[in-house]
Amino acid sequence: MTSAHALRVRLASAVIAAGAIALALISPGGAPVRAAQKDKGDAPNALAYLGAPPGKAAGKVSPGIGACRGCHSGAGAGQAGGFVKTYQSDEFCRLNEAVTWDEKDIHSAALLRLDSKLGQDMEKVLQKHRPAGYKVSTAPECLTCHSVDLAPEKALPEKTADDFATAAGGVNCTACHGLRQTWQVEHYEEPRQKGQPMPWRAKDPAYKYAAGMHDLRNPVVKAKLCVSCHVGNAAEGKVVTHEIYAAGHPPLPPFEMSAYMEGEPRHWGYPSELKYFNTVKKEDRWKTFHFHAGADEAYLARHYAAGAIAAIQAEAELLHADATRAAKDGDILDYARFDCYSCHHELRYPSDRQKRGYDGPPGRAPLRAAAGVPAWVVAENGKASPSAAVKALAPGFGPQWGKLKAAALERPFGKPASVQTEAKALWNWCESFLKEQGDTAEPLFPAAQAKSLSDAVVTAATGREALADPEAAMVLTWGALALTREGGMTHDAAKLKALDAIISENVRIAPFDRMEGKAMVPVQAQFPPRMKRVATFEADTYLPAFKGVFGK
Amino acid sequence: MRPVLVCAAVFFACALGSALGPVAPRDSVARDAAPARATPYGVTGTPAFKNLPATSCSASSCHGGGAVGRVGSEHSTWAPEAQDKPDSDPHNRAYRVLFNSVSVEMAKKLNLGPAHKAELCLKCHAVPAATGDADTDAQILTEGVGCSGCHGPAEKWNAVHYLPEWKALSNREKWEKYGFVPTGNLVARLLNCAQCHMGDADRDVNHALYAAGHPRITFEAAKMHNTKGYRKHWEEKIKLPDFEVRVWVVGQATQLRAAADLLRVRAERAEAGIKADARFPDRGAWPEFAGYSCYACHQSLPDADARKALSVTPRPPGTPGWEVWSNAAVKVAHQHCADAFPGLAAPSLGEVERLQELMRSRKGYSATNVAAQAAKAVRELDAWLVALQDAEDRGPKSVAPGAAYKLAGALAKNVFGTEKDKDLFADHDWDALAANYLGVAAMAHASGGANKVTWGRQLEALRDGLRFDADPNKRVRFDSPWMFDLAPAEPTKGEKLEPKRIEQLRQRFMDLRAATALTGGN
Repeated sequence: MTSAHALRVRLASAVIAAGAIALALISPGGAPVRAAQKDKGDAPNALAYLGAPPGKAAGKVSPGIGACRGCHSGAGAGQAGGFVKTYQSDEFCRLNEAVTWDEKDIHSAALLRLDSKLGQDMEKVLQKHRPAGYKVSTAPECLTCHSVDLAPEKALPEKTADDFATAAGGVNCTACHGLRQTWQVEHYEEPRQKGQPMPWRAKDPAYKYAAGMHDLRNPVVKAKLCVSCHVGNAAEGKVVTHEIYAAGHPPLPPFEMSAYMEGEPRHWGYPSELKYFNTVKKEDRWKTFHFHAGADEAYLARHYAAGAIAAIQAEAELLHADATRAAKDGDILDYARFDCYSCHHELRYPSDRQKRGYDGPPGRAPLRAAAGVPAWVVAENGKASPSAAVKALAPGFGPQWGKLKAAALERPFGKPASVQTEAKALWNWCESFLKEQGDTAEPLFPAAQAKSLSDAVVTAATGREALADPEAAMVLTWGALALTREGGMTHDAAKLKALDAIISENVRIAPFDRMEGKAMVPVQAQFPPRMKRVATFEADTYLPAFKGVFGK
Repeated sequence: MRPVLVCAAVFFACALGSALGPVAPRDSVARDAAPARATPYGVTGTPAFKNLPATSCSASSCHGGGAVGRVGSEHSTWAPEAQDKPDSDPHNRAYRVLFNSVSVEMAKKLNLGPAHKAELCLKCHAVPAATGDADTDAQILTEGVGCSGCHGPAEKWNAVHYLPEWKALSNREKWEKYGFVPTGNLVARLLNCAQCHMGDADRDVNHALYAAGHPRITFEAAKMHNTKGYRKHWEEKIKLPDFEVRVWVVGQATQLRAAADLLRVRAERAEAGIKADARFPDRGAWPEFAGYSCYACHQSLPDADARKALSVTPRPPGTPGWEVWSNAAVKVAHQHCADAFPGLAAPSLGEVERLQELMRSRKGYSATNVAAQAAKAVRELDAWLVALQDAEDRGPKSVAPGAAYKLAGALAKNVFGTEKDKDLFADHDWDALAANYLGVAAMAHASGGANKVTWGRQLEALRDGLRFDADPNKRVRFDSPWMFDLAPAEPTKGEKLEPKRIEQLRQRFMDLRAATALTGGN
C-alpha cells in the first residue's frame, strides 16, 4: 500500500479511541491504545481494523433501501437503463441485486422469521424468563442479527427497539454495504466531464470507507462482517446464548467463507464474472478492488484463509466477553461458547469420541473444533506463505490456540480468568494475521500455495478432530469441495450425492426460493435434514464416502 | 414377715428382670424411648471395623450348606461356583468385571493403572481388605462385593451374631457397637445399597469415568429387587404388597439423600479447591456433570425442540436438571408416607425444595452456595429416614389398605402439571418420565403383576415407549433416547403422519392416569 494510505491508517489507529471499543492493538509503529468511550470492559472491536468508524463526513444514518431499489432492480428496470447505456454499469455490478436478494437470498427473510411459527414458539418459551411485554419481533437481542442495527457500537443492555430499522426490510443492503448516507448518494454521481468513467469506482477503499461504505471486496472486511452475525459479536450484542438455542433457535452452522460465498445466490460478481474487471490495470487491481487475476491468485483460497481466521477471532471475542462476565459474577461460561455436539450426542457404543480420546480429562466440553481446525490449517499453510510477514506470524497460532483450548478445559466449562487472558491474546494474533491478509498487495495464494492449502484442508477433513465431530467434518468438507473445485477438480456426481447424505455438501440443504411470490418454507422444515446428519454421523460411513469423492 | 419377703423377692426379681431386659421378639426393637436420633443407623457413625472373607461365613454348618435357596445355604445361593445352577448374585461378578475390555480401556483413558488394582474401582467393585494378611486381603478382593459389602464388616459381629444375647440387641446397637447392618430394616439396607449404587464421598463415579466408558449408575430400589436373573439368598420377612410399596417409598428417600450428600461432598471439594490426582481422576471438578440429568445434554438436536412445548418445567431453557431421576417422584413418596407406614408423620422437606430451586438457577453454579444448602437438605432427609426407620422397627408391618393403587394413581398424576397445565408434562426429561413409570410398575408388581391390575396394558405400552431403540443394523448399542425427537419418516400417501415419540409418551401417560384414577382414589 502507498505511504499516504499507511499514514492515514496509522492516524486512524491512533484516533481509534473516539468511537471504538478496543483493547490494546499490536499495530506497526503505533502505541497500544485504549477505548475512551462507554465502559464495555475490554471487548475487542471487530471493525477497528478498518480504522476509526466513519465520522461526520459519512453523513447521517440512512437505512432505507427504496433508493437502492431504484437502480438495482434489473439492468432494464427503473433508473438503471441510463447508467447501463452510458457507463456499462451492468459490467461493473449486476444491477439486479434487489431481485436476487428478495427472491433467492435467505438473508432477506431474516426479519420475517421472527414472526414465523418458530419465532412465536421461541417467544412463548422465553417470555417466562424475560420482563413483561417481551416479543421477539422487538427484542434487541434478536434484532441485532435479524435486522439493521442502526447503532452497532451501543451495548446490548442499552439498546431499544428504536435502534433498529425494522421498517426497512430486515437485513438489507445497508446492513452490509454501509448505513451512512454519503456513499449511498456519492457512489452513483456522474462525472463532470462527458466520456469519463464514474468517479466513485476508482476511489481507493479508504476514501470509500470514510464516506461510509464497507469495502466488501476486501476479503478481511467481508469475513469480519459475515462472522459478526454468523458467529457473533459481543460488543455489538450479537450473541446467541445457550438459553436462546434451548428456546428453539436453530443451531448456527459453522462458518466457512468459501462455502458460504459459493452457496449464496450471488447478487455480486466475482471479478472473473464481470467484464469491467478485465479492464482494470494490474497495479490497480488490488489497490482499488482487492483482487488479482485468476492466474495470479486463487480467489476463493484467499477468502478461505480470511474467513477461517475471522471465524476463530469472532469465537475469541465471544469467549473473552463471556469470560469477563463470568469472572465478574463468579459464574461459569455460557454453554454456547463450547462445542455443541460434544454434549449433544446420543450415547452410542462403540463411540467415535472414546476411540479418538480426549484432550483434557475425559468428559469435559471442549471449544469448537469446527472453528479451530480450519484456522489451524490456514496458519500451518502460512508457514510457507509467499509473504514474509505472514510466514513470521504463522507459527504463533498453534501455541496460542493450544493455550486457549487448555483454559477451556482447565475446569468444566472453562476457567473464566484463564479464558479471558488467552482469548484476548488469540484475538490479537488474529488481528495481526488478518491485517496481512487484507493489506498485502501481492498474491498470497498463487497456484502452488492454493493447492497446498486445498490439500491440507482435504487431509484435515479426515483427521482426528473430524472423525469424531460432525461439525468439524462438515466445515472441512465444505472447504475441501470449494477449494478443490477452484483448483480444477470435478467431483463425481454420484459419489458426491453419497457424501451429501452423510455430511451435506452445502450449508443450505434446500434452496431458498421466493420467485413469483412462492411461500417460504418454514424454518422447522429446513434444518432437520442437516441436524439428522449430525445426529447420525459416524466415522465408519463418513470416511469411505469422503474418500470416494476426493480419492484419498 | 413372710409376705413382705415374698413381695420384696418378687419386687427384686422384677427389678432385676427389667434391668436385664425382657426376652426380645425375633426382630429387635429399639428399647429406649429414644431421644430423636439425627441419623439413621446402617451407614455412618461406627468405628472402622475390618471385613472378613466369605470363608468366615461359608462353612457348611453356617451359611454354606450347599442346598441352594434354603436357609443355611445363603453363600451357596450367592456364589456362582459352588453349584451349577444358572443365575447367581451379580455382586459376585463385581471384581471380575474389572478385567473386561471396557474396564481395561477406561483405566487407560484415566491413567489409573490396571483397573483391578485401582483404589477408585475397588471401592465399589470389591470390599475394603485390610486384615493385615496379604492372602486374606487378596481373597476378600476377588470375592467382589462379598458378604461384608452388604452385611457390614464382620470383624466384631462374626463371633456373636449366632449367640442368644444377639437377639436382645436393638438394630441400632448391632450397628453402632458391632458394625452389623440390619438388612431386614429397609432404610439400613437401601442406604447401604446407595453407597455404591448412588455413590458417596469415597465412591464417586463422576463424568470423567462415564466419558471413559463406565455404564450409567442409576438406583431404583424396587426395580433392583426384581432384577431378572437375580437369585436372592434371602426371603423377605414382609410380603407383597407391603414389601414392594415400602421398598419404593424408602427407596425414594434414600436415593435423594444419597444424591444430596454426594452433591454436598462434590461442592465442598470444589470449594476447598481440591485437585484431582492420579488415584481419583477429575476429583474436585465443578460443576460436576454426573450430578445432572444425562439426557438433558445427551440428546441429538434434530429440530426445534418439541419437548419444551409439552412441558411446564420451571427450569429455564437450556438448564440441565439436577438429579432428575432422584427428584421426580420423591414428592409422591413424601406425601403418601403414611400409606406405606401408617401413623407416620413425615417431616417437612423445605430445605430440599430450596436445594432444588437453587440448582435451577445460575446461583447453583457456586460451589459455596450448593455445599451449604445441600448440607441442610441432607440433615432434613436424614430426619425423614430416621422416622421411616423407626416406623419400620416399631411396626405395624402392613401398609394401609389400597396403598399400592393410591400410589399408582398419584404417580401417574405426578407426571403432569396442575390445573390448566394438567395435560402438559411436569418435566419432559426422560429421567422424570422413567422414574414415575418405575414407581407405577412397582405398585403393579406389589399388586401381583401387570395382569392383575386394570392399568397393566397402559403400563406395558409405556414400558415399550420409554425403551431406547435398538440399532436396526445391530452394529451399535444406544444408551440414550435417540430417535425420540427425530421427525418421523414422511408418511406414504394416504397414511397418517406418526406423532413423535415424546408426544406418544404423553398420550400413553394420559391413558395411564385415566386408568389408575379409577382405582386410585385421591
